[in-house]
Amino acid sequence: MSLLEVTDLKTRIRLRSKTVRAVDGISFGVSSGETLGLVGESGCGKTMTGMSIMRLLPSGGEIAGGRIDFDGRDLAGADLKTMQSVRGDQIGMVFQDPMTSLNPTMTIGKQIASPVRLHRKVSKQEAMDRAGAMLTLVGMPRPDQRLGDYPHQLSGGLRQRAIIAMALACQPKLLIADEPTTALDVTVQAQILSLLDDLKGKFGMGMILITHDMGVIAGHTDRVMVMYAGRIVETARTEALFSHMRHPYTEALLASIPHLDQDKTQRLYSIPGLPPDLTSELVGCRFAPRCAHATDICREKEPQLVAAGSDGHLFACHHPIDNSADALANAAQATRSRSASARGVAVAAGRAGTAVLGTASAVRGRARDQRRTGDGTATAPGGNVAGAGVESEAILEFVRTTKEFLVTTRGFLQRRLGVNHAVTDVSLTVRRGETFGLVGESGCGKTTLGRLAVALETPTSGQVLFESTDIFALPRDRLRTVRRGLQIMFQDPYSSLDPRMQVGEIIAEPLAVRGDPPGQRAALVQRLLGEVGLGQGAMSRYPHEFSGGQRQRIGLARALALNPPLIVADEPVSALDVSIRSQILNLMKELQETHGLTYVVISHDLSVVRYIADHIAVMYLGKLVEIGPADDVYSRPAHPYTRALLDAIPVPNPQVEKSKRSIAMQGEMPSAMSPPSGCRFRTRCPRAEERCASEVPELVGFGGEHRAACHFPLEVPVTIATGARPGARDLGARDLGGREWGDENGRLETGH
Amino acid sequence: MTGYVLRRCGQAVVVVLGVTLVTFLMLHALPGNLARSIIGPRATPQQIATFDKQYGLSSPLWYQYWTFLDQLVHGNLGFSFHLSRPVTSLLAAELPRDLILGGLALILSLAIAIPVGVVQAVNRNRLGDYVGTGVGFVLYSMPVYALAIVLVQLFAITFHVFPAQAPQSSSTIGLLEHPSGLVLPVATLTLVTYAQFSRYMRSAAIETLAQDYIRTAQATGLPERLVLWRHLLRNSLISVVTLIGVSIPVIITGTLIVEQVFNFSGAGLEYYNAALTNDYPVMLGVTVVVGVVTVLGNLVADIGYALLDPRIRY
Repeated sequence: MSLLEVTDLKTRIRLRSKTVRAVDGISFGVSSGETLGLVGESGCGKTMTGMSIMRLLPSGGEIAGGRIDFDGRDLAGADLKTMQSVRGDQIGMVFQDPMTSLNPTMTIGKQIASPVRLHRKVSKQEAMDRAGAMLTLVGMPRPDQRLGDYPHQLSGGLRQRAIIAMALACQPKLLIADEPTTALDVTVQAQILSLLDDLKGKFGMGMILITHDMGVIAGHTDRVMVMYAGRIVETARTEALFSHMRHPYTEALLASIPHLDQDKTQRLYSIPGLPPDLTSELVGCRFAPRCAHATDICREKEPQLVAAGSDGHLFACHHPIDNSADALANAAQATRSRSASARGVAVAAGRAGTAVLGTASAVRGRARDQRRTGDGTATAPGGNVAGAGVESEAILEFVRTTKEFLVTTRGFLQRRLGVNHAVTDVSLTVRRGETFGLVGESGCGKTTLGRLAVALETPTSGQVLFESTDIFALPRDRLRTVRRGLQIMFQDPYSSLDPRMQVGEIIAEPLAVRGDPPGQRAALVQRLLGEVGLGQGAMSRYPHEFSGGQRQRIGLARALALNPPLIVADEPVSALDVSIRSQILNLMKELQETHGLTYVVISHDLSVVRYIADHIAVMYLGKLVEIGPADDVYSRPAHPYTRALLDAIPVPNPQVEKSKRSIAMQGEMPSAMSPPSGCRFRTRCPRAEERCASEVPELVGFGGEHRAACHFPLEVPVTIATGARPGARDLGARDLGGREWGDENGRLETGH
Repeated sequence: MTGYVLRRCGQAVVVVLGVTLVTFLMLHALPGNLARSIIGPRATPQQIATFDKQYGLSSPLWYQYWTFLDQLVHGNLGFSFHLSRPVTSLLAAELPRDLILGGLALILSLAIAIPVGVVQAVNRNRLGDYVGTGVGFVLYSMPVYALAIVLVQLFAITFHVFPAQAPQSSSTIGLLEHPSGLVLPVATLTLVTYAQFSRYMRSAAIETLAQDYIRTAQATGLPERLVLWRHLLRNSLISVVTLIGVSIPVIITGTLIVEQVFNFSGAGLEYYNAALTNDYPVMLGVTVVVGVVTVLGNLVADIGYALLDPRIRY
């Protein structure tokens, strides 16, 4: 008998006029000491499953059927008093957003002590002692001082530790962690996940880990349950799922994520369409409308869960995948690629590499060999072929750019508290037609740098050159004109579009500002909507009528309206679901080729940047720590920070992920108000020595354009003067382009 | 915190100075001749000149203002010609009565509005909430004098429960000796103020209820009553406290009208009479004191805000 046994659970949420079948008859169990991963797109019912167990459903929500047997009682029918004695004592819960999940007006000590006082009937002092012990256990630095701190005094990572301490204060038998690391940086994510693993072992508790990230699933779960539209579509032991996945949805989820070793010339697989509306009666397989393998039977008869082999591997599909290699080849086919068969196989193998255990690195090697054919040197694949001839022309340059924000008190006295060193002495060049990736943890200054690029911020010192003119030296009216060529696409598709403007007006606004006559505007807006894959009907509709992915398309259309040479995309896909993410990335790549665009893509997601960028720059606490061609930086990182960032990315491969026993990097980024002396990374660097505290490292070359600023780099520096790309390589790329990429151009013009 | 309070007090002094300057200038810009209104319509130019000279009205405006400030810091608000007594002693007699009226109304309205707002938020869009919202809107949209007359008609004339006018004792103590006479004036002012606070409290509580930390608290098994008490109340109060500071002038305006309706002898009534008779030292004195009270009220609200919200550190 497992700790938790859910049988045929049905959860409904009653809205004003209709009812959402959020969870529709699912059964599963969790044993002590076991982690069950729940994965799926947003709206698939994974959070509602967790909330049903806690009986913390939103208003209108109710359990319409089934049993939740936990430790000898049925929680589905338990009264409120029973639930209150179970919550926090027997079952703990950790939520997604640590910034909002703690009461801002109560010290964290009191908040952690609260469940102890409630369930253990101990004195105030004993409860507070327990809170201190819990903070020590979750790895909070200086735990006794922290007890008296308010949440706003802690960083996101530390707040999540405090929330974990609160959830585990009474040693629950089951922990439900709902996207516990989604709001955190990748390095902090690694720390929190390994902390949860440790504590699970220490307390011998069962755990339900809800996530959308297949990489997190691979590394931190024993069993996985894939949910779609309120149903379980596949469940298996984690290793078995990744090696022998049977359901096309599982496969599609995995294929949508750009891997670090993704072939950049290939479109990302994306699941077409959206999950079904759960308020309507659904007939047949719920995934059928989006499934490449669907046939008539899928649309008529709903498949039941059947066993695949032993060990509890179940799936619900009329046309299951036979074995992983074939399946992934099919997935590649589903991208509607009309590429030559040879390349299709190579790509299929590339995808398989991430799923078939142990072959990932071999495939990666092969893929690189293929790219290096022709001229013997590494070419920049996926770049803009049309722009190859003018590749070396700089479009945007930062010259020793520094941006400092004065931090003052509120009110009219404005006392100066200090200076936030957001960007310090950054010099870099973005070339026409390329995609330039800016990566780093939150607070590293990447967004400020992006805003400087489009003249939304003015540098404190240094210059920003656009097409070789210093944009901040221009007179006001010239700057207005130049700005038309510098457009930005924002992260949050929900707040970046005016909710009271029709989509047509939103896209036409920049045109109106430029002074285009209304007649011309309408025609251009229609063309732009078509280009981003939205129909004519979109013009007279309002933003709230669109999904997140569609809104991001609208944002892209608006950025494109003035036909700018440069678009800064600030976290363009991080607010989107994995399947939608790949659609937007594909679209961005397409538009780059048709419009000859240059992108500066800002992202904390290194896999996304790896897939889309030709050159990348890694920032840490306002400083540029490493820069170079994406392939070089990813395959041979010279800076320990880049290495740590790369190591922290969860890879959707259980073997690789579970072999990572040590955490890439401890601690969190210090405040930009008082950055460490010398090398700013030294406080978290495993290789730091005395010299790092006294001397600021300069960028040194590591071959080609690859440069890093470190006194003790992981690679051997190359002392030869570096600079422009060798002309021979450009020629090689162009030759290659004419022959090998021709068909792709054709495809991209007609595709999608 | 001490530093913050000191800085805010410094700001308050600047604001009060501004209030005196503006009031002073505005009263001097008003039409009407003080001397003529005191001596009478048949005053000769010589008499007016003598009067003006005697009371410093012929000196330049800046000098008059300076003299006024000088007197002010020495606790002297001038002399009422009509009442033939110093403004300071007049206010010393009347202000405590207003403080009782306004203060009681403020405390009572908060004491009702906060729990009612929370209960409405918890039961939002149910019958009780609709009733509360309806009552709130009726009170909110009702002018003070109309509400006062309705209450008098109902409780004094129809049912004879409470007297229709305030206690007529001249001393503050005498006022408290007949509390039944205070019921209707205080109730009028309380209901009007309550309407505003309860609307605000309800929306603040609804907003707080949707916060993630409320769900976190529920997930620790905390009973609902304690969730409201420990997590909802303080966070919702943060926004209401700011409103208290802003609502002080509204309450003072309310007392002015309530005093009229209930024949309640207080600074408002004096102000009204002074305005009718051009007795500008009284008007100036009352305005300055009201200004100071408002500034102090806002200061207290800001300090309360900083106490409630640990994120606020000025």
